[in-house]
Amino acid sequence: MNQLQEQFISETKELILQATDDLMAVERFGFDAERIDRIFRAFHTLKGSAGVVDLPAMALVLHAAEDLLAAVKAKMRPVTTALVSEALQCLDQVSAWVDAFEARGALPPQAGERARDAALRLRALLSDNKKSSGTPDKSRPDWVAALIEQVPATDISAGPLLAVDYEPLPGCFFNGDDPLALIAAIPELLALSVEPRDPWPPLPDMDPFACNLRIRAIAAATREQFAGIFRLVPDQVEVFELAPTTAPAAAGPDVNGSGALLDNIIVCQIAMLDAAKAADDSYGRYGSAARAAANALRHFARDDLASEVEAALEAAFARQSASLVRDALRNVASGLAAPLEANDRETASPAASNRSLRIDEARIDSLFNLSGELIVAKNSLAHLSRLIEPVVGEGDLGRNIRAANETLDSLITEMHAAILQLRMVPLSQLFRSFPRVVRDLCLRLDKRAELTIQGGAAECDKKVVERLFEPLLHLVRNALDHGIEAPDERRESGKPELAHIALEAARAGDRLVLEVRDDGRGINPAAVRAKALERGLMPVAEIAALSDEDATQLIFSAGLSTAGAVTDISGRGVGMDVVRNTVEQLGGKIAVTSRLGVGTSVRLDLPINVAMSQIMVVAAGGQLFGLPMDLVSETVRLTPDRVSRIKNNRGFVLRNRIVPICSLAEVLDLTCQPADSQAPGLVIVVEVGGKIVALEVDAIHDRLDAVLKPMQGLLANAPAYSGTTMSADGRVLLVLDVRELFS
Amino acid sequence: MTVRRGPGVIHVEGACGVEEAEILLQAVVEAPGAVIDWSACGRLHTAVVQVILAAKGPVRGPCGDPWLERWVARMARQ
Repeated sequence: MNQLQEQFISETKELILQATDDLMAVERFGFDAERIDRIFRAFHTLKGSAGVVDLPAMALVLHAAEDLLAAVKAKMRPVTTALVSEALQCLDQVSAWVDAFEARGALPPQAGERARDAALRLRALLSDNKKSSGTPDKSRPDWVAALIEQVPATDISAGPLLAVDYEPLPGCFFNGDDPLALIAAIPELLALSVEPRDPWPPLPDMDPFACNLRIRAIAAATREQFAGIFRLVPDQVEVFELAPTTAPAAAGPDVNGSGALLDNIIVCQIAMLDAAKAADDSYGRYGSAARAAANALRHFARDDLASEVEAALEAAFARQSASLVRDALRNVASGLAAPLEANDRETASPAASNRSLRIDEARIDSLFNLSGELIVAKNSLAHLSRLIEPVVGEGDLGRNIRAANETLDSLITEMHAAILQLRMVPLSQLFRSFPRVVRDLCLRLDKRAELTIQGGAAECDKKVVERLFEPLLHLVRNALDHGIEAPDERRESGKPELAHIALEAARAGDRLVLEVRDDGRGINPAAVRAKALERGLMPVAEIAALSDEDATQLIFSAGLSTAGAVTDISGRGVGMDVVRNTVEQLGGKIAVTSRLGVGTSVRLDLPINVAMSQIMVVAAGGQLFGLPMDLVSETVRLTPDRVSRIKNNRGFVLRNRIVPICSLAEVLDLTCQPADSQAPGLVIVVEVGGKIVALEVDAIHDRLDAVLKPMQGLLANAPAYSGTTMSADGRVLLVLDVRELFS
Repeated sequence: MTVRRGPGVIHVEGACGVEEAEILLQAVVEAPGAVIDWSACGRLHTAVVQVILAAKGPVRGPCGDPWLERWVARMARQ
């Protein structure tokens, strides 16, 4: 992949996102000249870049979409949901192709066929408007009639025929194209004509490497065969299906060469406008006449004259006067005799100035890993400096070592923070696709909802942002599918028909709080209880004892879906527990609050950095272990009288709650001498999955900032550990996965 | 060399790639009215066929490439 292609990929993605946003804004807020213009320019640039990196199929679709948008821009087409959907689909397709191009350096083989279909759909939207302009029926062009005479009658009745009109680009030989070789590959060729596209120049002036041919053929081939043969030149061929019998069509206008053709087109438009003097549909008529003329002029590189016609059209709209268009066309017709001035066809629009630097993610990751190693090295140096203190005493040397160590410590911490900053991305990247999700779902579910987004500027580690998409998508889908009521139902219950979904983010210290809120029907705790009972999630008594609030949290349990019917949008009952798992894997918490009839809010509390964790080093059974600090709520030194025995279990009372005590050594099956029952026990109170447990340990050592390395090799499947790091004195420290321990 | 000049005739022989188009064009320009003999040619690149069509001069012999003879020769002889 060369630099040009890389730039194409990143620029294209950016343009697609921007155009998607604008399209939806236009759909929602109605026609806005500035936005339409921006959308048009985005499509225009996309088309241009697709041409530059030689992806004709992509350019073909985008060209069709651009034409449609040009009509919108000229106010000849209203902005409809169908139109926006079609344009968005076009962007989806282009986006998928860009991904394919990025992965494999080429478009999928069926891209050409897809492109033609999509272009046809887009053009169909446009042609509704052109009914009055008298464009010929494209389903059977005139040349077919002449060519089909070459085909033996037996072959005509043989079955469906395809006709292809192949106009190779003038520069196609330089691309390595051999157009006749493509035609020779058509399996059942029945008729062929090879003609000069423009009249042959005098031989001495001829450029042997500029293709000036127009190849037309009829064959008894299938569309798939054609798609395969012309897959690299989809923008240069037009394929028509022919019925088994073909009546000769009327002869077309006698046109010699492009100049005459252009003249003819302009003259025809003037004639059409003259004929429409008294007609009531003249409004549409002069619009399409001007457009046809402008398109033709652009096609022949007379952009100057095309702009003149378009300006006249706008003026005509403003003053409701067709004569302005007619006059402009007359001017153009006479101006065509004038020589063509500087050919200032615009190339791709200049890239927006960009002060940011694109860096390969792998490089940042390697920098980040190095910084992690540096922290481990720093930890061991700190340990050494503590060891050496008693040896060197309180003199200058000891003080200097301590000072140097502190400086190093603060610098390394700062550097690590700076590197973490490199991995921070704004949440707006994550939120960006949600307006589209809500729009499409609303259309499918026949509901009305608006999405408001807040806090997109908050930043978070790239890994967190990447992994949050699926959970958030699920929450938003759930809100729309289960939470938001149908418009009728909302009206009956006195709510506005337009429902509201809020997606909000806020940073609180080193935590990120995300909230997905809807004003739908809320979660019925009774229904959740009934479902939990039916699925046997918990014993009856426990379910009954749950408060409404706690019962609502059961929606995060595996295998519980309260929707009556399973839809393909949500409701397979695998979603919410996956959401919770993902959030917990990221070191976060999730909670739901809901009021029946008023709405539901799901709150995600996440660390901003996943990369660095704070570890508490504890000793148990003669070994050291790391405990993630974010689970530790407090450490308590227990005197024996506070510990009470309940059967075989021990527990103690902490702020009016009974907390069970587990010995860490026992949980890990470590051999250990029986604890001295008289000695005060040291416990660490941890909160796991909404439950509180006190872990009994032998001692608590220091705290560490550590970068966890995942368990590898044989240890990869050890369930009780989430990773390893180095302790200050250079030993490997196993970090416990407390959730797994108690699951 | 697959474009060869004889007295009043230009022979196009063997398979001709795109680069032969320029050589053939030069030959045609320098010898106006010469007959193009393509009876010994193999596969011709479109660019070469284009020069033969544009020359509008007499063409001799059935084309050495049966596909071109079947589909394109008629247009070259017009």
